[in-house]
Amino acid sequence: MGYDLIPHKSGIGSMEPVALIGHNVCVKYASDNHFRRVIWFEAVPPFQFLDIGAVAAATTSPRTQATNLQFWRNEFGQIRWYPMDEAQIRMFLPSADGRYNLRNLQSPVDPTIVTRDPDLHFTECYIWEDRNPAFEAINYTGAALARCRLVGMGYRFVTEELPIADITRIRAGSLQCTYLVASGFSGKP
Amino acid sequence: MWNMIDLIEGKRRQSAVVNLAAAGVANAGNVMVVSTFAQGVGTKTLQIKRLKIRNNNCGNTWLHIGTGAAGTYVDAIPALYSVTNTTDDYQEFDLPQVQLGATITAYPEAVGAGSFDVQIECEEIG
Repeated sequence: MGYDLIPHKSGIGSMEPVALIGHNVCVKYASDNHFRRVIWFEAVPPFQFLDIGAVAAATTSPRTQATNLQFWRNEFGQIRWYPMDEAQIRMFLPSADGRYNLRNLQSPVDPTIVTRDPDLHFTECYIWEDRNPAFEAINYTGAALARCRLVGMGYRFVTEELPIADITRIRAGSLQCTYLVASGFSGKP
Repeated sequence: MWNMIDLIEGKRRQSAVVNLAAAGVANAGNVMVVSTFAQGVGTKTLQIKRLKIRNNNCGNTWLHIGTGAAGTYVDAIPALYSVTNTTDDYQEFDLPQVQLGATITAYPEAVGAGSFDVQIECEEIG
């Protein structure tokens, strides 16, 4: 191809699709590996996908499902996102598994992300079909929050299953494939 | 270099010139209506960026800017003192950048035989 498309890639102030039509991907969700070929994709411009709602001062909201980030069958999404209101947001995908995990801390995203990481590439996540993420808002302030809005953007990919022969070649390293993580990982002890 | 730093900023909107001819909180009038018909989630908030006030023969009095009316009224910023037959212009620098999730209303404490004209420029975020 002569031009690399890789997960979390940040070009100069922009976001790029992780794959193009005809590319092979492996979407990893929990213990499943979905080997697929991209047959169609389109951009999803920035939109407000969730308002977690009011959060009392110094309180954490209930974990809230972002069903607006679901995709159709055989599809996956590549999404970058940021919060608009004064809260730290923790992401879970699926609902029981935290994302952006360190050993002792789950890294939250707050509105300063737009200055610390203007391209939002650290927030990039992949969503397999209807396995949407869930979000918690931590109101770190001493005042009640009336709302907690999240904005996302990215790409929607339609895929088809790969033949076994191609999967074998991918596993043998003789056929290109981009691996994408679409769920959390609790880590090995 | 282009980047996403401006993503939390909103769209600038201007209200019409609203005439307030009656005094008191019960007569608080809508100055800038928050948008509620955006597709999807679309929760919007308003931040006042500029405020223009004309005191047309109301006497020296206070003008309140907030949300709601009568029993539901809440000040968004401290009341502004207005001298009769003058025009005041407050810009972003003078205004606490409170985010308001409801329509912005205003009322004068007195109008005498006159009335107030109020115009607001907001950034609508969300």
